[in-house]
Amino acid sequence: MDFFMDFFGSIGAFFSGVASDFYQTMIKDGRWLLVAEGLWTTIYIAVCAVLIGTVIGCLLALCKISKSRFLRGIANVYTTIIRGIPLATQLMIFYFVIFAPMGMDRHLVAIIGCGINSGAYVTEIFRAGIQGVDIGQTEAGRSLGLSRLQTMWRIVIPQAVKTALPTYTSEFIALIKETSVLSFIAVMDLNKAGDMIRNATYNAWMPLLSIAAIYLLLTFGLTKLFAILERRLARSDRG
Amino acid sequence: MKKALAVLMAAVFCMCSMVGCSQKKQVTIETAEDLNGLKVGVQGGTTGETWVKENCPDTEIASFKSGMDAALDLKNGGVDAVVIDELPASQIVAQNSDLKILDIRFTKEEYAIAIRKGDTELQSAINAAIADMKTSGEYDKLLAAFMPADGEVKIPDEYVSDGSETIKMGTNAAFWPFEYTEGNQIVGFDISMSQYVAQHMGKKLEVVNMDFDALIGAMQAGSIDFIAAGMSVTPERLENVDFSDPYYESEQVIIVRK
Amino acid sequence: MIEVKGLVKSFDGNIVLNGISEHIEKGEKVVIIGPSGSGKSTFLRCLNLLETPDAGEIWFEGEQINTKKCNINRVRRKMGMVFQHFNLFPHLTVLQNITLAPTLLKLQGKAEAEQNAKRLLARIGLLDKADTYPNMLSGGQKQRIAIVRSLAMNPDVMLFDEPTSALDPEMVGEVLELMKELADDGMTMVVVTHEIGFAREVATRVLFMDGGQILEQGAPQIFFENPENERLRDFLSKVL
Repeated sequence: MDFFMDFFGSIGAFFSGVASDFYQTMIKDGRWLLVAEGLWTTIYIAVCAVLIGTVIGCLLALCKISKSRFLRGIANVYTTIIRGIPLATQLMIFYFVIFAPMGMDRHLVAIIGCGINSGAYVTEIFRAGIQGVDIGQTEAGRSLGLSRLQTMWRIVIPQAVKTALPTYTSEFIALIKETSVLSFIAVMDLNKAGDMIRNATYNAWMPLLSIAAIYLLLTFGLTKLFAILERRLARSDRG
Repeated sequence: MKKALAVLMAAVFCMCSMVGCSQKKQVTIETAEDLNGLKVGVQGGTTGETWVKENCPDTEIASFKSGMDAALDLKNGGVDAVVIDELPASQIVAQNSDLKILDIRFTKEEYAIAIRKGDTELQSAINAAIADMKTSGEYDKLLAAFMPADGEVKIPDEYVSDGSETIKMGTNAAFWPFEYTEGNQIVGFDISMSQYVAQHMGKKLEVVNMDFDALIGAMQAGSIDFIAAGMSVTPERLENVDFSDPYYESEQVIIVRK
Repeated sequence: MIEVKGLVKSFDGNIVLNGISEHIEKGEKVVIIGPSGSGKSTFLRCLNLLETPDAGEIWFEGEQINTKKCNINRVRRKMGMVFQHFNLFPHLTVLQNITLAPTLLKLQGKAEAEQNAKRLLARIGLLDKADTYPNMLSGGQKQRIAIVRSLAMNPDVMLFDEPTSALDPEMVGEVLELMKELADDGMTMVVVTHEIGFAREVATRVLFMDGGQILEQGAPQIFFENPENERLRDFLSKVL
């Protein structure tokens, strides 16, 4: 009997300890506001960056499959350089060397930096998607009298999008996680918010685990959301 | 299609409006409270950061990995002022002729070695070593070596210990002259002092370099035994770690563009 | 209608077409046979410039089409092409597959194009499939729809590139039947195929290609009964 009392007593103590830790680190002094702010920063930077990355990716993917050696060269140099350098290093170069001396805001540099980085990966995703569409589709379109552009836009791209979507969405999710290096240029993203709570409370595990849980919820939720989208798009493939 | 285009244009417009909102402006700061309303760079996890947060609630704080990054951002115009400990500040200003230290002093603080809460054995061993260092004159020698009047730092010989046991010291080697890198070596006042302490205890010293704001967590997790990183004693830190006797008295200063 | 002069084409140094000259009149049904690798598909694909010839001239309805000046997209509207692997657009319904090109090229309004497509589908008995996606159809159905997709452009000539080679045997008949109907309607046709029976029955002229050249040609009766060329005799003995 005593054993059980001790056992449940210690479990109770553990949970009340967790609760008080949670209160101390996340609730007291409105620290959750810091987390909310960090989460918002992470999301809007990731979303803006993925928009920029998508635009860059579209253009460069078209460059990569174009007949012009010059355009292909540009696209290849871009993807080689950007994919060969870690995001943190790139961000610091973009900020400290290139954009800050021009008087650009850190958040904007973060968006542009992540966008340029993501663009290189999206380029490869789109290129693979376009080249994955059977050449016969292009031939069928062209032999009906459609122009190269019409064939690309109405026949190849819709199919490429469908095959590229799963890798494209996982790139977006990867980007959300990668924004955690934004603290290198003093942008207060979700990860940095956790750092700041750690610095204020000197409690390491509660802020870290809380931040981890938020990242997980975010990425898991998006994965599920995109899976639904993919299923919708896959409708015509049933049979 | 039209919707996507509209969203894109809105995004471009937003970004354009964000450009140019951070011009290098000339600021006048006469008291520390004048930092309110400015953009202030700090090193993450330092007392400078805490002080600005508590005393100047209207500042926009940019928290960098090192004081040097904050100073670089100051030069670039990303922030208007940097709050940092006086000795690293003097080094930064010496290397960057376009920056200056303001003649304002607002907090006195004391550096001490941090140890895990309740580790009284280590605490008293370190305190004994520091006391011994002061009476033997080694302390003054280190001060003279790392903070000489002429500014010419001469790194003293290593205090070598032949002990078999290792003790791990955590630091953040971006804080001249207490800890910084010279070639591929981490050197500085704190390093030499810790060598002395380790020698005094008959142990070998291992230096672990990490971000300043990761130090306390790392010690709590047991991956380092003590912290010597120009760390000031503060009430908040005292709730989570214990400190040795202080070994240096410092101040926070404000750096701005000339 | 189609005039080819001295056509040469090589891939990576292998000569596939070695100086072909040929003339195809309006209303002719030309069937091209030959062993695989003989260049017959490449020849067909050169006619609407899916392959660009290295040398030679291709004329269609009085216009040389393998020049920079020629708007090939405009020419292709008048040349329907049917592929071995159908190449239906999997992301579009059957109806959309048929109406895409006429509406996109503004040859027909949407309603007109749909009405036209439905008439064509009704003709091949697949009107009930108008709103399904290609992946739900059998190979024979797909190929018949691919033929109808080309017909929707009202072409002057139809090119068939081994239209039955990818089909299960029981589906070959329905496709050939549709092609016969087209022939009976007076369509000009160029057909690359292995279906000797079809050639005998429908062709007005049969060409035998091997090694990038046309080695023999003639009306089917003469062509099949009295082959002169050694290699044609050899080929026929294998396929008949």
